[in-house]
Amino acid sequence: MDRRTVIGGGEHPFVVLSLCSYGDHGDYQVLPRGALSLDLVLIRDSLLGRGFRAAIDGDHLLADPDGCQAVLYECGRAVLESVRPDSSDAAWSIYSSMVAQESPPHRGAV
Amino acid sequence: MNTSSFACFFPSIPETGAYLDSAAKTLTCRAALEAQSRFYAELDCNVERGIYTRSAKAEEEVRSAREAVAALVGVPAERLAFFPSTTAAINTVALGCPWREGQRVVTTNLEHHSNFLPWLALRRRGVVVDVLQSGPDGYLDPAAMSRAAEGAALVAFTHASNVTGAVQDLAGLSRAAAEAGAMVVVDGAQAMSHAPVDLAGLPVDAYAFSGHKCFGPTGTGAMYVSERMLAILSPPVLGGGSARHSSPEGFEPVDDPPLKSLEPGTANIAGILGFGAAAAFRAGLDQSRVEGWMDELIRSFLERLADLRRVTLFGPASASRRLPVFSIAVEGLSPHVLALRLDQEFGLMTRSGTHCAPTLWESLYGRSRGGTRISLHIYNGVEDVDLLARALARISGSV
Repeated sequence: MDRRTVIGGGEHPFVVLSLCSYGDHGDYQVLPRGALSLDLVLIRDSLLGRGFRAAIDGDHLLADPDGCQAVLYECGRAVLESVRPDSSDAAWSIYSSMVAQESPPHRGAV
Repeated sequence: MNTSSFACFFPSIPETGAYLDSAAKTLTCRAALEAQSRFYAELDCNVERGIYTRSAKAEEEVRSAREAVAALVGVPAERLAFFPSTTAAINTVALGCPWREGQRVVTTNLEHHSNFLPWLALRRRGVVVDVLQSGPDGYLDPAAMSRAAEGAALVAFTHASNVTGAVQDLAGLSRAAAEAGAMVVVDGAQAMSHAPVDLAGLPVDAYAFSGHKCFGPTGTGAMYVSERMLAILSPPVLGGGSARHSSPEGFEPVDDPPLKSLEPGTANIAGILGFGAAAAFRAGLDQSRVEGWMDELIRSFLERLADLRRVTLFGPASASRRLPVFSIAVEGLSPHVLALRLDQEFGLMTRSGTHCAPTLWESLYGRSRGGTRISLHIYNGVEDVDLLARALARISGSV
């Protein structure tokens, strides 16, 4: 099932895939459907502003949004670990709130 | 430049990065691709009761494919049934045996879910299911198997681990279980493509394996079934080709050829022909060259790994009695993140998590999250191992 969120004024589809389930928490992968170029600096700053830990490490972002551990690449691909509750809905909620940027206008969305 | 002399047989080798996920699926050899395409381009019909020449030709090709696949495990073609996968094959045994409450089944802590869950599910039918523990090195001990199998109706174990690459003592374990009076079921999915398997003379009642782990297409599997196993099996799936006669009063199961009852419905004919072509391709490879190259890849990987700090190997550290399947962890990185970074930054295709074997990970290594698996095969070059070593050095901070 496609998930959709608005990034930089445009709606983008994603898929959320379960990687591992541990009962009360799980690991997920999020893949964009089609080309995407996220502004990792903007996302990092947004996460820091919301009180989460976030840092850019080379070409990817490391963050702890909503108690999970996330690795996010500019292309939109991400792994979210220790997602609670263990559901793709929860993973998507974390991911979409992490990447959805309405203001200021996103610089790199395709 | 791929340094493997076998690479030329595999059209899907990536141009950049490296494919290191052969334990999940081997690349498909050209012969298998061509056999499948040829079926749809030239035959494209159903088999068995078609009274026309084309159907007869397709039937003959399926027979040849069965012979080629059966030869891989050293059994007559009439003792081999095709299935969609190893999973489907093992489930056929688990679901088809006439279990009685209180009977006992033994499986092991090393199993993939395909050879674990079907047995655990029998507890719902009152069957006692015990899990034999391997040694801390990931090898099963025939003496321990002998004790565990005493009084058991059936024992199921893997020939080679999809996590650690450890190759078990098939002869010793199967004899130990059979001498204790148990039927013997073996998951051969990982072992099959690496070395010839000769079941002749071994007390194995079922040996299941997959085409997609032996250079063939997905959706194909096969299982050797012994006479005594077939005698007690009730096929759990029935349909076209299952009955000699039927009427509203009942039906008489088909028994000619003997394993026909295990293959209901229209078969995956193109897949079977691809599987057969892959089996013939594998049989045609010089085994000493295959073993020499596998050994080279294993030694190369282990040597490079020894130079890396913060990288842990789970499983045998020696080059013997193992496949080129390695599970690792980098300190401070989760298995999924390591796999993601290997792919995203280096084009290295690996597989992370527990590899459908969480009990192995927990019992041997105390790791609920598993590791990142690198699995090599004959088409990998030493340069793939070099690239992996450089990537791990960079990611782990070893350089």
